[in-house]
Amino acid sequence: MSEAYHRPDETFYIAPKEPPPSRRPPALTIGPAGWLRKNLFSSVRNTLITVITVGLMAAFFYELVTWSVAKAEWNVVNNTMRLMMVGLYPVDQIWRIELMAVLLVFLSGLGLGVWGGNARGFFIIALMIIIAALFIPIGAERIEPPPIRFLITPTDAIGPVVFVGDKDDTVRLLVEPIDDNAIANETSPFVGFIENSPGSSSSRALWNNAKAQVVAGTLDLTNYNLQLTVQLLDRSGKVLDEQLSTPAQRTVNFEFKLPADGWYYVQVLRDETGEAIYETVDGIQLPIAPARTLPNTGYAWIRINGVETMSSQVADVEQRTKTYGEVPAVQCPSAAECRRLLLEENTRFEGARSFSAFLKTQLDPFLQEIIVSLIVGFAVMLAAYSIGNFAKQSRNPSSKKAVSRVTIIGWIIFFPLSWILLSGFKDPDSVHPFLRLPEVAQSLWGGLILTIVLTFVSLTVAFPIGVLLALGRRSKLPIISIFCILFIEVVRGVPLITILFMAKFIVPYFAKSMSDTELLIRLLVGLTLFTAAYNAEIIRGGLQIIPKGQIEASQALGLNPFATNVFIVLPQALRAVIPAMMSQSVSLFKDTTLVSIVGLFEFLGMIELIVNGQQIYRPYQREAYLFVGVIYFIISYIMSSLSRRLEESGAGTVRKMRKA
Amino acid sequence: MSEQSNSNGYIIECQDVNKWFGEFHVLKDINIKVKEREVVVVIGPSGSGKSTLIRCINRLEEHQEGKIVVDGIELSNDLKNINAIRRETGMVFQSFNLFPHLTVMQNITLAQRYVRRRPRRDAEDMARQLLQRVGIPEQANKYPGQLSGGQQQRVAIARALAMQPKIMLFDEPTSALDPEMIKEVLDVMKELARSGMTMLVVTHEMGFAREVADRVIFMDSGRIVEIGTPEHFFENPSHERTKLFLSQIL
Repeated sequence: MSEAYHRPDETFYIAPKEPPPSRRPPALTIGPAGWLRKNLFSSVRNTLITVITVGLMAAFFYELVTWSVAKAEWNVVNNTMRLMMVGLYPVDQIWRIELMAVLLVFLSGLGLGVWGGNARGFFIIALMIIIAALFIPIGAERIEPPPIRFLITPTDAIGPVVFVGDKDDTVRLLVEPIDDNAIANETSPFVGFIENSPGSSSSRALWNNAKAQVVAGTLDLTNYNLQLTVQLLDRSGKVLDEQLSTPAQRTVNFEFKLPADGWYYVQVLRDETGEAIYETVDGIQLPIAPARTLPNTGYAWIRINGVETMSSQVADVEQRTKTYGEVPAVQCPSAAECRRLLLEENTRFEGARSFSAFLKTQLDPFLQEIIVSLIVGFAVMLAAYSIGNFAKQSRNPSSKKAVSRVTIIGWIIFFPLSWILLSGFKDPDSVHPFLRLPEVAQSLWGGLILTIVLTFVSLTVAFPIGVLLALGRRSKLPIISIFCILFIEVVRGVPLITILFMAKFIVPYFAKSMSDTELLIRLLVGLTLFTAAYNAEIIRGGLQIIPKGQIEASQALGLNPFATNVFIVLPQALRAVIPAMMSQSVSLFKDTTLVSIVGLFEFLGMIELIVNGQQIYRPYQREAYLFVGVIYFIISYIMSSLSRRLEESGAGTVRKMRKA
Repeated sequence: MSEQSNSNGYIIECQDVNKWFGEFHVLKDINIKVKEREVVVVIGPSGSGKSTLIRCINRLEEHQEGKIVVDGIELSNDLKNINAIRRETGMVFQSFNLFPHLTVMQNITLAQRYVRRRPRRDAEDMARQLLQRVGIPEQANKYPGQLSGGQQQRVAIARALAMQPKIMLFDEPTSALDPEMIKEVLDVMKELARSGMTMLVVTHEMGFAREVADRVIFMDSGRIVEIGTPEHFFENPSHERTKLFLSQIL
């Protein structure tokens, strides 16, 4: 064999008759290892960049995920889902929005099926999401709650601490007196909890105050005694168990097994009698605590262990009242007032939470909120996708044509139909009984649905206007082109928020007839004109790349300027600017958040209203804004990936055109 | 007026046509008469104004002085006249100018349907016949980008013919083609000439001119230098400029 491998550097060479057998490429150049080496670790510098970038990303996501799972209180999202999604839209009319959403999903699925690639991947992912959604939430174990503790001071005992417990839960109550040393040495007694209302009477403030006094030497706890009654009560106020803390027995520690599911509360009573406490020894009563010679209370922790959920987890209260009934009226005039106090005065859990606790307390309620929509949505999507794809792959080409026609007509009908569905009729009796939808004032629209309405209405209306402006700007008639240039440049030269303010305040001033028009309509007009101006510039860019020969060829065939534009120039120009148009659309989608400044509460505005306007949700801004961010990202991502699909597939696309 | 011109037997008449691009005088006192069924080849060095001349005939360029009458209709700013003339003249470009976003079939049927108002079925029948005639019946559903240059140019010819024009204008139809593709296009053009189409062809293909042309027009610096039969033109040119040109290219 060896002579078969003469190297061809010899002056004269004749290759052996048999070609040498093909060998495999070196192992490190192929497969995943080869890919990694080539793309991530090709040189020292690239390796360094890879490692640093991956490290940074990992650190960021680790923090984000840990926080989301172990610390975040997502119930702010669960409890306000309806507000965030549909605003103040009447509850009994929400089916109209749901119908619209189902239509939207159906049409999208149909379109993907007919025009998209054979996305088996999509099919599988959708199926997996449905299955996962069916199985995820249930089966998480009960949570071991972190011990909760409250500070008792010489002047303040804690108010009732309310919690819910289930039958046979064991509650442990521990009253633990503390002295100067404990105060001076314990650095952060509130790890795990942040206070909801940082008022002066909060445990944290009291603690800080005490600590300051101890450090300054103005507080001496040596002579303080402690005289408290710790009671465990059920919802009706019946004392289930109680124990006394006296100077003789300063530490109180007792357990109690709860008799039933329900609300319970712990109450700490100061001994207000002022009398000396006696103990009987050999028939003689000996005073072991003099009457009010010293303040009768000192500092102490009261710890409560073993109940599944403490009142501290505020956002759960709403949820709890559904299961356990109304909050018990403890030391407050009414249950409602009590509930308000409870919600306002509670503390926020900041300790780490186990993953199973996350599933049970965070994900489960969330999935309960969305599971029906999730399953219905994906099922409709899959069905529509299957219909579309089936028609596409069927041997009879007319069925594909029929389905695509249905899809196109569906989309055309969809927009006006949704508008009718959303707004209803002023006088429902005047229309066909089938359409007898009562009017829903536009001022009630809000949340994500308002964002979507703003985006899609202004996009669809702005598109033809943008095309006309772009053509007008290139018009040979100077009046038309000057008008278009003026319009485009003025609108583009002004911040969107200014346009929205004009729509709100200035338009009604100039045009009295407009003052009755709903604010939403006026803002829509503003958004539309704004988008149209930007679209016009994008489309003009597309028009400029159409070679002159195309227009000449069209003219030479006898097509008039209108037909030339409609059949030759615009189809090519618009295809070329799909990416730019789509990024403009995504940017408009995000810009709609500005309408909250002029008084419409779209998605972000609604969230702001919730977390800033509602005291109980104020501690949960991080969760709420993160949720908003994720939703905006998901929708934007869907929009841009659709545009990529639009660019890459389908008949006569740019890619196919250039594949010369 | 139309009868008057037709009675002359001339389908294209240019009288003292002058054109400027800005200050530059491109066409100087052009006078041409083309009879029906005649094949006229325009040759000349680049920049001599030959392309501009035939682009003036279907008003892709506007002439400033003189008169152009096509099929009895005088070219003026009247859009109706322009469109009428464009309907009667097919044009084939150097760079094909097929519509890249439409299939070959759609390229050929578009103008038939929207200008000639032909029903879709008829337009497609016509397109298939023409594709057969130019030798690429199997490419109907492809996009122009998927065809070779020669095939694209033949589609362009079919597209122009689909309008059933009386005159075909060719603006250097083979200049952008690879050598081996030139022949397939020229064959189609020869076949077209034999079928009796009136053709005005700007080209550098001397072989084609010699074989097919009824008359050859030689242009230089915006003016017509010499008009004659191919025999006269190639064997025995009269003008010094023509002799120089021929000596350089042959």
